[in-house]
Amino acid sequence: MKTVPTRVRQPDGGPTGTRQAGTGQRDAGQPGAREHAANLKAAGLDVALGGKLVVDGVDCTVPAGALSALVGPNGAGKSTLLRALAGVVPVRRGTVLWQGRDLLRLPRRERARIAALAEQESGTDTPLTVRDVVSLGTMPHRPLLGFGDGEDDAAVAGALRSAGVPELADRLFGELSGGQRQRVQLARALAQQPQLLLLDEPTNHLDPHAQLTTLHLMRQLAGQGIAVVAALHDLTHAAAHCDHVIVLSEGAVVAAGDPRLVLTADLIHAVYGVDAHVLEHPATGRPLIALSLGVSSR
Amino acid sequence: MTDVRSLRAAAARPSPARPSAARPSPPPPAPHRRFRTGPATAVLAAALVFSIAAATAVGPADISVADAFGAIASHLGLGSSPLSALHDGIIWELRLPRVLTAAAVGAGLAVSGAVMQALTRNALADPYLLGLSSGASLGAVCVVLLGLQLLLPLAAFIGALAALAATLLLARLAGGLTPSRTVLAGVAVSSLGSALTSLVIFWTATGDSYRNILGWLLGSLSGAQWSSAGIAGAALLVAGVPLLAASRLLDGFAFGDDAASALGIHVPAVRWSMLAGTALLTGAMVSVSGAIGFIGLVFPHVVRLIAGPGHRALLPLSALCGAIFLIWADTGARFIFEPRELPVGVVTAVIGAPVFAYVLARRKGGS
Repeated sequence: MKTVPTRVRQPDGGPTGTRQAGTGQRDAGQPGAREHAANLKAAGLDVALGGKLVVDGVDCTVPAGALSALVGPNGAGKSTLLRALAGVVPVRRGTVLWQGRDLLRLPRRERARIAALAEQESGTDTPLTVRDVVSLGTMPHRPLLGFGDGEDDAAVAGALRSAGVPELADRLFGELSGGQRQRVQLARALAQQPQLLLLDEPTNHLDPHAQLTTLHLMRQLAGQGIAVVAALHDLTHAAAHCDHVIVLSEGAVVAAGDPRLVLTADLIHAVYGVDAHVLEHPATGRPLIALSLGVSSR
Repeated sequence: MTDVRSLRAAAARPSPARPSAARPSPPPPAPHRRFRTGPATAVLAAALVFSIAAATAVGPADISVADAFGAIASHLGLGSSPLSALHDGIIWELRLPRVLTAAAVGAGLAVSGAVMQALTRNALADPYLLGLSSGASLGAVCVVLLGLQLLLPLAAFIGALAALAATLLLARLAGGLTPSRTVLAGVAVSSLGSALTSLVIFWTATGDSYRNILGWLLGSLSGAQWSSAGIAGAALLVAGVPLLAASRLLDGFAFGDDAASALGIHVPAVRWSMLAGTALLTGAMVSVSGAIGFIGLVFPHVVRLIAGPGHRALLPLSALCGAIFLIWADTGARFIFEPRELPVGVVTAVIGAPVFAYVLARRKGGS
């Protein structure tokens, strides 16, 4: 399956040499940047885990109807930031506004109808079928108390279809491969019918074909108006498939904006300590980021 | 165009280059049929009604099941009793309260176990194994010996709650609430509770203290009266029905607290209120029957094997199975060594301990 590059425009500047790294860069007014309504706006976000500040004064915006990548080295705080945005870990300071409403002070159930989180490692001892797992996603939409069925079979089937795993419905979750579990968790998140979809490394564990299919699915969801935020390790994926990128380092946002402007060799070297060449994909014309441990001179 | 088949063929030849390009074909799906809860509930409910009548017919006085049915129906205002006044009294005043108490206790303990297993994410959780039952026994024994019979369920509830808190605290101090550590902490709390219960009885009782101690530690329904059935039944209404109504919430805990929270569940509030519900249920049951073990462990596992893990089905079906089982276990306990009576906890442990061993062995690894 091919991901169609319709939404990504070429930047006006040169494909490799655009220097634009640095704190506080925004896409507004930059060449080639798309105008997005900022539906999620986090300001001054601090999250501490075990007394240590893991997310340290994060300001970021996430546009609706767009696919945003959250990139940064291991331990930069990507997962914690996603969990904080979902309201799963307590925030020490700061606000998260969703369409002007304070997401973190909304009632939990209401928040769960807006934001869905699919995490990296998710295991259970319970012998649940895939259908059981996905139907958990409908919990925020059905009454919590009562004796009836209360399940929404149509929503579950729709989510399974959207995530491309309808044939797994009756399999046991515990018997699936890592990649299949990833897909099922995505389906569970979709069953929440979220407006904000937070995905922690959704392409992890996946083979190349499945990675591209997942990115394509994420683009489709963004095209439906959902704000999709995915923590990614593959910078080429971030540059070639995402509308917006947020670069985290040591718990803080060091750059944000159009990935083709933000993900420069300088920034990648500063954040990851590796040398980068931003090339052009010979077939698609989209950015291709080649990395090395300092064999090339910059 | 290269395809996987030609790559495979190339790889099968003894050549040095062996591209590992084939996408692994998915294993054949093992379809799981969807379990139908409604019919299963109806069958078990019918079995429960039959068990109640049939178990009241079992005993030294020779009464048929049909006559037992008739006698019970007559007291409910349906027709006249087919039995003599003496036999009618045996059914209505002696055996029926005991059978109903057994049913309520079995149901309550099974629901408690199922809820505790979900909330602590621990397949070995059970009110007996985590010390709640022995805590409840201690609380109950204390007020019985002080002559405060009216406070019996309350004291047992407080005892169960204190024991649960002690077990969870001890497990946390020992390094975290893993299943094994929690059960070990439960063993410690349970042993202490049992020892103190024995001590209190031995210290204050004058007559047959050993039988009394056995009754509380192993569980016995020999003293069950209508008031016992009332306490156990009221606890089912007050704590059991709300737990059943909240059963869907338990599904949300399958992937842990954070996942439950992301689904909009207020995790601490739900966990502590539902655990308090199990303590209330266990306390009330122990106050009328002593510490009957393993029912809370066994039936959720048995039902899960058949009906799947969804709590909406698991809780009511476990309750029905627990009720039916304890009726027959108690009937066996008073029948096997007739005229002597076996504490019913002996029967439940003989069946429950192997199930415990099975669950433990199946868990493999983990800590």
